[in-house]
Amino acid sequence: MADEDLTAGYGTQAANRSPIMAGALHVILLAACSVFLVPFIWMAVTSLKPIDQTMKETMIPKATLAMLNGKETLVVRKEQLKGESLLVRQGGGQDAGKVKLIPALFKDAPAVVNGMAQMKFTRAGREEYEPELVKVEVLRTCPKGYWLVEEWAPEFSQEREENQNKELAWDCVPESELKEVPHLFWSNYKSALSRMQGNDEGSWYSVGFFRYLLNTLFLCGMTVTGMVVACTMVAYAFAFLEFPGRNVLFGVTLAVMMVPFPATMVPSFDLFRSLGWTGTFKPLWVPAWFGGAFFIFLLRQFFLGLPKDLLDAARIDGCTELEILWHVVVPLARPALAMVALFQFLHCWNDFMGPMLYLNDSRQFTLSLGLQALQSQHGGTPMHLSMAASMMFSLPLVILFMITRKTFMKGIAMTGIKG
Amino acid sequence: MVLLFLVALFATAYWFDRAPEIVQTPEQLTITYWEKWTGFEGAAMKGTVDLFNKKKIKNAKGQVIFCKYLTTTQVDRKSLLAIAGGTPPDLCGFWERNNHVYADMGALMPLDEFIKRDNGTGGFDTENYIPIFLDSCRHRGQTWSLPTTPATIALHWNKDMFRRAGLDPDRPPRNTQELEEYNQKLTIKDANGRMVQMGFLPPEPGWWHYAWPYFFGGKLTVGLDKITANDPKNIEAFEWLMKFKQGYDPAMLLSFKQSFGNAFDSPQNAFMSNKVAMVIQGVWMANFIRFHNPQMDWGCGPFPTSFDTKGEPVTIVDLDIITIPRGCRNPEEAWQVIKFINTHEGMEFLCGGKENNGGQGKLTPFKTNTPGWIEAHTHKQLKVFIDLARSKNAVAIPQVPIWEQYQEEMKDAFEGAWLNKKTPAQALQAVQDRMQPELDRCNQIYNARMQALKKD
Amino acid sequence: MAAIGRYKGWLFVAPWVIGLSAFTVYPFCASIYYSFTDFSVLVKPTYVGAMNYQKIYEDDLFWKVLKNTFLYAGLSIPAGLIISLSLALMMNGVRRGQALYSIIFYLPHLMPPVACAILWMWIFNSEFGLLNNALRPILGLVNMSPPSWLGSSDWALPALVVMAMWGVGQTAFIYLAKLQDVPQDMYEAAEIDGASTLQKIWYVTLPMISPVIFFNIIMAIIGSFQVFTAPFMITEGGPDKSTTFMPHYIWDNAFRFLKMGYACAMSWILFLVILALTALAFRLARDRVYYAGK
Repeated sequence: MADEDLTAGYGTQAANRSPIMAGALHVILLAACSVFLVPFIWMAVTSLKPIDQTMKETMIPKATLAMLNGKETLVVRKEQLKGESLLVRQGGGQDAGKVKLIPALFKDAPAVVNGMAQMKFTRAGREEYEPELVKVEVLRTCPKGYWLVEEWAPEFSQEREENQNKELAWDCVPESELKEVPHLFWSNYKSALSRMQGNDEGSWYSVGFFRYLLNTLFLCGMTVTGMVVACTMVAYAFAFLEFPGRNVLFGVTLAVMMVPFPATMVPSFDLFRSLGWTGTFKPLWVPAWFGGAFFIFLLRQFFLGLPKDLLDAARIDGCTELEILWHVVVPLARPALAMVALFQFLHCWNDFMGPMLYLNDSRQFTLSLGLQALQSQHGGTPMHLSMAASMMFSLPLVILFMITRKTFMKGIAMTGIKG
Repeated sequence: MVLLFLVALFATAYWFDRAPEIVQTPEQLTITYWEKWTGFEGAAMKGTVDLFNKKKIKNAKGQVIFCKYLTTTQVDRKSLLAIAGGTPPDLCGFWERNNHVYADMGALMPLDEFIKRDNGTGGFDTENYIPIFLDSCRHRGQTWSLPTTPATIALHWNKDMFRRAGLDPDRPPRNTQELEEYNQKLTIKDANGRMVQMGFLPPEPGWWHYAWPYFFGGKLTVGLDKITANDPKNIEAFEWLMKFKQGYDPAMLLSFKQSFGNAFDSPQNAFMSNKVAMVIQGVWMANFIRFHNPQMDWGCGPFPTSFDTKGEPVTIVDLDIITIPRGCRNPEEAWQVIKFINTHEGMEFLCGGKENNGGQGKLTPFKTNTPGWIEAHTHKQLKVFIDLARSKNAVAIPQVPIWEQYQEEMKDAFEGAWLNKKTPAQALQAVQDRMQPELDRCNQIYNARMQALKKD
Repeated sequence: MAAIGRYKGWLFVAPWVIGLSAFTVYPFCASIYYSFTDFSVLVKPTYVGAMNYQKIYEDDLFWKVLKNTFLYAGLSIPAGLIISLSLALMMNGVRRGQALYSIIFYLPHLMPPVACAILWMWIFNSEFGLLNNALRPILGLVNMSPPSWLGSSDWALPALVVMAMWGVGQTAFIYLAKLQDVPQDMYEAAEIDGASTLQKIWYVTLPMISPVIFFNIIMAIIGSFQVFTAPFMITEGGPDKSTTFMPHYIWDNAFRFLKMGYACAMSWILFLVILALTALAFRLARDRVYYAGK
């Protein structure tokens, strides 16, 4: 019989496809793929760029390297010298001992005269002139065109208390000593993680990304299980059981999907509030255990495609409906059920409205809420961090999808089992 | 087997899914504060709350007040639902635009009793305030909130771009005529006719389309019951704005400003990437310039007007406010937090405290500040914004309860006129026709409600 | 036994019925009630009769938004159908690489809406966006320049439709799963009769997967009238309200302008519109959808 053919796998039409046709199809598909992939690649690449390169079309993030204090360090170009400058070390004054860069000419006269110069210092954010000339030691001359570069440390902020006396390494180097190399800024991920944690304090599993992940997994687990269980039962009834009012109820099921969500938000919130469920996860997963219109509809369509004679045979054998459901339908419909599970998982993972409305404490937040932490009040988003966070958000989904995809594709043995 | 799995699942759910309980002990009373900020602004606010908690202020029962700060997305909507449902937090951080609307709906607790009682104690004094900020928190004779962080808006310009165009970098345009002239000099196109840089682009940032009339001496409302969207000066303002797109495709200009859609906090923002020379922005702009383009040589000053302001420049005053929602269980303790934030100590710490990593980088609502505070502030030109707030021509947001919708309509009117779908006169007349009935109805409902309350 | 048997079905659907009533029917009925009141969430609703509906009729913006919504649906439903079906058919027609293709086409669904929004704003940016950089040289040949997509009130909506097409992966995936269901012998029979590839598709494949096509069309109708997140984040309803669709307008009225009664009235109208279109679809499908199992 044709058993082998059935389980041979893909594309029942593919066997007879001519190679030219197959090749043409591949070309078109690959072209389509690139369209679909470009945004994802962009997201991945942007997540590894430093902020000033995020909007440029460069596909490869670049970093500038220079030798600072004998070590090759990642640097940021601060400015290009517009005129000759001198690297001096202060012998006195407010910043005694510090090395500074000053223009060689100060008001059209040499800045350093007899080892003395007019220096500036910064206190409390203000730049002021030293009251007297300060003794300085000229270390080096930097000609015009040199670059003032500073160690790259995006999370370093001079304003922070602990950094008051620290200084980032810096130097004055010619263009030729700067190297532009491709560099993946993995630190964006670390920064994104700490931004998501925001102002919460706690251990790694009770706040921040991992906590949000845990919360999200919990919710997804609860809703997926609930949905699959409930929708299977209900779709089974719609597909196979005759009962009065079935068509009307099915119509209502469809109608439910047409209700615009803002209309039901306030009464729903009121309902959950009177149950005392606001501030918990319950409003998010309990409804899933009662089924969902979309999946009921989806499963019903699939079930209707199953051969009825199997069920009739089972009924003749005296099985109860539940047994038929469990032993006959479910195994046959496993790919469809897996699909429901996957879609519900995705929906729950991406859901933003629900958690926003019902969760108050940031330790309960889901990942989708956690992503909000990367947006500041005036509508801004640090692109590279946002993309890093989005990558972390999406990657588990991609992996999940890759793992479960096979369940849908292979082993669909429900058809053709007729004589 | 399946049953076992389900039982285990529900057991996990029961254990995991408990609302974090706030347990009040005899030693400590915890109150919750929902606020909008994230990032460095959120950190600044949390720092201020931490400072309050360190003080260990006690309430009448001898409990130490502990304020729990919660970052909340869409805090106004969420609080609205919570208040309606009777389970609000103890403190809510809103925007000025919510003040009048929520007050009219009875969502907020008036603070007058507290203010009267505590005025002049503990560093809190209503005399401290630049009047416009305090007035913005009042509505129909009562005070419904107090400021957390105030803001004013000003013209920001790129000095380097001025220099390159041959303009004096320290002399901004003083009136609308000059702004037009500066714009001519600063707008450059390349050989293909593509825009390289613009002098002034009205759609950027697109947050204050309701503000333009004020720079022309126009106004949007009279009192609480009259809409004046079609005031001739308003139309004049819009027509002036339309001049900036003459000769170009307006849609192209709109996308020129877009910089990846309101990605304002990015080095690609039109102003910070040296694509637009002059922009109207708020006091927070300095923060973002510092983050994304610290090399930029920039200046700020009053936005030019069409009329002689006689030394009292025009600006829009905006605030973030803190309120006690109706239904709050611990109003007295909540008030203590509000009071602390509104002292010099709290406010200066929040708006620019050095110990607070620079705070939010804004001005305080007070007439004077502790000596040295401005000098240590990260905003190098803060005085500009403070002077603007003290100006007699500083404008507070109209107090009409339909403000959100009115604001949106003004934005639509601007865009419609900008994209040549309507003339400014038509656009503003449409707003007038739509908004006056709305306002009338809103006031009618409010009056009816007040009547009904009086009867009880 | 027989009598109980007839009501067994109710037992099975009981959880759904309970959930339905509590979480959907009750809120919806509540909102229908609100549509006849003046309700701003905090203030108790006051009955105003059909005033909200009257105002909707007079509201220019409502009609504009409704038109936008129909336009969007009218463009995205057919486009989505054709593209996803084509992709699925093509994927089904090759022996190797299906796994990879289906994953790649599905990727957009796995990205968070925020990232998608930023991404598309960049692509459609008229100055340095990917799309216009590609279009400019081509259009330059005929002396035209590409439109300023998101800045133009004429082109923003089509831009959103294009973005929506990026999400066809889910539908294509469903089609692909069902395509694998089509029994081999039907194709063999058709080939014996001398059918070409196109004829095979038209006479064998499409009818066999028609339940799923029908399902997806219904979903597309319902979905395209409820699009909210993308326009909300990307264009914020503009420019000049050209990408404001019904859900967004309802949302604004409900939560920004606090005209809850008005918003509920509009929701009810939207619901009726979707219902009417779906009923129409059902009517048309009655003779065309083939359920193999029956």
